[in-house]
Amino acid sequence: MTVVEDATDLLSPRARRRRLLRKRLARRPFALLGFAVAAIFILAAIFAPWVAPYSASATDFNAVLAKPSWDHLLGTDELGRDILSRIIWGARASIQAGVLATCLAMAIGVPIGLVAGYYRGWIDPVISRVTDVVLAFPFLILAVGLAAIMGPSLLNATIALGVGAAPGFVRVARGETLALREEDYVRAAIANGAGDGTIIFRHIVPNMTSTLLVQATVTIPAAIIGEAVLSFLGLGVQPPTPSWGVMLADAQSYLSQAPRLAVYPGLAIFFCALAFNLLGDGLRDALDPRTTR
Amino acid sequence: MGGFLLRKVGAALVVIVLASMLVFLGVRALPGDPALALGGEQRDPEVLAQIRHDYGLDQPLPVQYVHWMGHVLRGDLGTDQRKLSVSHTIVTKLPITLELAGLAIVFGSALGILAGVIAAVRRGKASDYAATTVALAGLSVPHFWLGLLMIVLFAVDLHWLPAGGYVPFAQDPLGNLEHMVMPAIVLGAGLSAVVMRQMRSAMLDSLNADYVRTARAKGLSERSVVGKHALRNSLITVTTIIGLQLGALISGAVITEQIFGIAGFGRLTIDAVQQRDYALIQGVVLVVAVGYVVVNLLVDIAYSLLNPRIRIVARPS
Repeated sequence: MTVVEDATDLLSPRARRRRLLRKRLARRPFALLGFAVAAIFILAAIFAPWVAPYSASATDFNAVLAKPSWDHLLGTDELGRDILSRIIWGARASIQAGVLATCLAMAIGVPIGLVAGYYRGWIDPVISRVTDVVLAFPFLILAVGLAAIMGPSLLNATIALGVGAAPGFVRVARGETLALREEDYVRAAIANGAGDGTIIFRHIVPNMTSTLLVQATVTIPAAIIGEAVLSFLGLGVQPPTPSWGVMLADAQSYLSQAPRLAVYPGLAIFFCALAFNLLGDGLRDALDPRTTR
Repeated sequence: MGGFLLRKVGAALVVIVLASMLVFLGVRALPGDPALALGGEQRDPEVLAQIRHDYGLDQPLPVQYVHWMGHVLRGDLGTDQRKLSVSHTIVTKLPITLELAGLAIVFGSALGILAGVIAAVRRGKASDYAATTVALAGLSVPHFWLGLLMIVLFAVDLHWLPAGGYVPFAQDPLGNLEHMVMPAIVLGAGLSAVVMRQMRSAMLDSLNADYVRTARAKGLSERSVVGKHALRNSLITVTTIIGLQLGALISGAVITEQIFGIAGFGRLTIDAVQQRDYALIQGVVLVVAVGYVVVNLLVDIAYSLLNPRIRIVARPS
């Protein structure tokens, strides 16, 4: 009779991997810090109406370009609008673009990568060439094209960012599928006569989720910065809707008078992107089989 | 090697043709009748029909594409709204952006390679943590914001450098460098962060490889082991990374030129969209796509020359 020494032995391989990931992640304080800060930004974006001290468009003409005070913790802009409130409201556009663009990129890239890696044959080089074609258009050029066709808006900027990030997911999903297809349990499923759908959705997709999660955590900060760039250029969020990129574009005219107008929204982008990057780095290290702790 | 080159060039040509079709169709998807735009004040149906006939707009799309490509292959990208040659405008603006991108690559790679080597050699020490943290911060900083902060500090406060503009190198070499130093740092900062992380990782792999152990066992100095053996092999990886970063560099040039008021190719791209100048948009996007594919092809070839194993791996089974 065998004695079960550890409850871990009773868990399925997937549950064991998840537990190991949590354990490794808990040993990475920077990744946890990144997670906490990213969560704060997401919560601030969701609960902006309750968290922000003022409305994003509330103007106070008696306090134009006011310095930080108890009434306005980060001061006010050229129209007397509270900078802190606009940063909190602006988080909505950034988080929305970051998360939605990543979801779109996954929705486009993962199925294509799965098909290329699973079926191989003629479809694989065709998909590779099409991916190369998309890569030949940098995201800003794609966004410029979309803005020209459909007009500038947050939605079109998000679509451009999502399409631009899709090749990354195609490559990751293809690579993972190629590797997972050779695993014993997949070969066993094929030998048992399982259909393509069963193999893909029950055996391959669940086993690539952690890798896709890492790719998502590095795509989100890139998309957040991308949204800020597009809004700064007038190709994304349109004023007076608050966005960190729009705030930076407005601040350009007041650089010598009130440089803080440019400092705070930039810091918001920086800390938000850094938080997701720290989380992504931590996840990647925790998932790396070469990592020993 | 011949077969490898042919396959690579063939694949690049396919991508260029597909990209050109996408550009062509994209511009046809733009709202508005091009004949109206070309006709200016003219609204007479007969005149508009004549314009459509003259420009081949009444032909089926495949015929229009072949006609357009015929002109493109002869270096004619059409005329813009101001009746200026698009090819000429691009040829005038491109060198400015190429200079900016070149300086950014030099700055970004030099800093990234140096920091990556130091971090790998001093793994686990304070300098490694410092370099890794700065690189992660470099990936998270919006570079156009860095540009704004640099303008505030070096142009507005300290008056050390001009806030923007461009002076041709041939006209005033020193003035040219003064104007380009901030934009090049801003554009190169992101590249340096990516290069640093890749360089550190590649150097760590090289330093643990058998040939480095053999070099150490032979009694070579650490300087020689790092500089001659590990560094040389790690540089191969970095070459590819710089090629892959080209897209980010082009996007970065667009915004950098906007901030620093440089009238280069990036600024031209934004102006083309803002003025809804379709011929210019078509030309600019095509040049970017072809440039991207050609540079990546050159990087692939350079990589295979530096690392012969790639040619063998790339051969289809």
